[in-house]
Amino acid sequence: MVQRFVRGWRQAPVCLGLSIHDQRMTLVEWHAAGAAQPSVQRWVQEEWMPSAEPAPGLWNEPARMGATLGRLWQRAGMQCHRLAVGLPADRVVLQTLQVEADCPANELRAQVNWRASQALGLNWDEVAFDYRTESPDGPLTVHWLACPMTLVHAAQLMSRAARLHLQFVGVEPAHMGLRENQQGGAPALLPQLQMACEMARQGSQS
Amino acid sequence: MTPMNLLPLRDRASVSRRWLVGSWLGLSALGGGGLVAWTLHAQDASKAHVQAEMASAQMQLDQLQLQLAQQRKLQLQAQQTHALWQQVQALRQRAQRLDALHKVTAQRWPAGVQVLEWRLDGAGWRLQGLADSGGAVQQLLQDLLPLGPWQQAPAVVELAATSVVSGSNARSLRYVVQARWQETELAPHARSPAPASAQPLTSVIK
Repeated sequence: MVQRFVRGWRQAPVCLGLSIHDQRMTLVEWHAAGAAQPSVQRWVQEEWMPSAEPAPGLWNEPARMGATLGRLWQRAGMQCHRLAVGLPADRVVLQTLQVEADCPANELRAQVNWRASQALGLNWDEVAFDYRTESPDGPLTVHWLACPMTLVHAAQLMSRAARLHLQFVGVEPAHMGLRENQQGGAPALLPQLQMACEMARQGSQS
Repeated sequence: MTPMNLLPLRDRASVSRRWLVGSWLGLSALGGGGLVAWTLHAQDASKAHVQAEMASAQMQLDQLQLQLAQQRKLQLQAQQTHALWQQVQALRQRAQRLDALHKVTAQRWPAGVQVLEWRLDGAGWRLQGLADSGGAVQQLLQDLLPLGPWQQAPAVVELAATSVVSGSNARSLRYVVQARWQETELAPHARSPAPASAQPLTSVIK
């Protein structure tokens, strides 16, 4: 009985990963089958034609996208409710700054907020940001990431419409070459699936 | 390394708060279940204890009832014995008084008073006989008086002259004397009912 419980615990889905691009939505239910070999338990993809109704977009019609996401979740028979959404790399700003090593946390946060608002051309309360510090010898290196707050609100509305819990909003890695594959006409199924898995992995670690 | 999350801190807090609330509810349910199980267990234990005490008390009650029945039986036997002793004492006293009466009359007989018939009825008695004169009868009464205590003192009921036969030593007066001794009252339950055929004891002296 204990072994069955441990096996069920290990096989329980950890997080949902979502990747959305122009005409395709990919949802992945990801779980850690052992710490060394995470794997995909279920995945599903929705594609829509540009000639049909006005194509749904995450950033302009979050409620409609949430309904589509909920249908996908049910159709695939998924169980997990924790959702990690990946934003396209071209919609975010990733920069680095250096501050003094003894800089207080609230001042560091204010600096990052100000830099992000300057980079995006928005007010300070219209940006969503996060940062990570590295402290080699000398001044403190801060890697920060920012995007318009409207994107985060759209992701929240979408997950609420799909009856899922938004746990993580990250950035899709640009090195996976989705754009290159799309431009070359090759099927983009595998890169987008990988991106969704990466989002799920990051969401499970956050 | 923890990935950067663009979700605002307050929303992340809500997620963690949701987890905390869920964990708290789970722990509460677990604790409640444990409490209920412990309460049921304690209830069963106390129920068994109460049942054992009830059985012990019932056993003691049975023993006490048995002892009470034995005591009542012994009390009844003691009461019967006491009544029998009282009856024996009364009979002994009556025998002593009759013996004294017999001695008194024997002293007077056949000089002046002759006893022809004794009639005994419990504590009462009646003498019938012949006497030479009324003075002899009066003397007999005087001699009988100290044999009390009396409920009805000795008294002459009948005194009449008789026909004298020539050549015999027949007396001239026929007398009847009766009296009743005072006896202690016997217990009601100790009195045995007199048989229907019981008659007063009568002795006729020829």
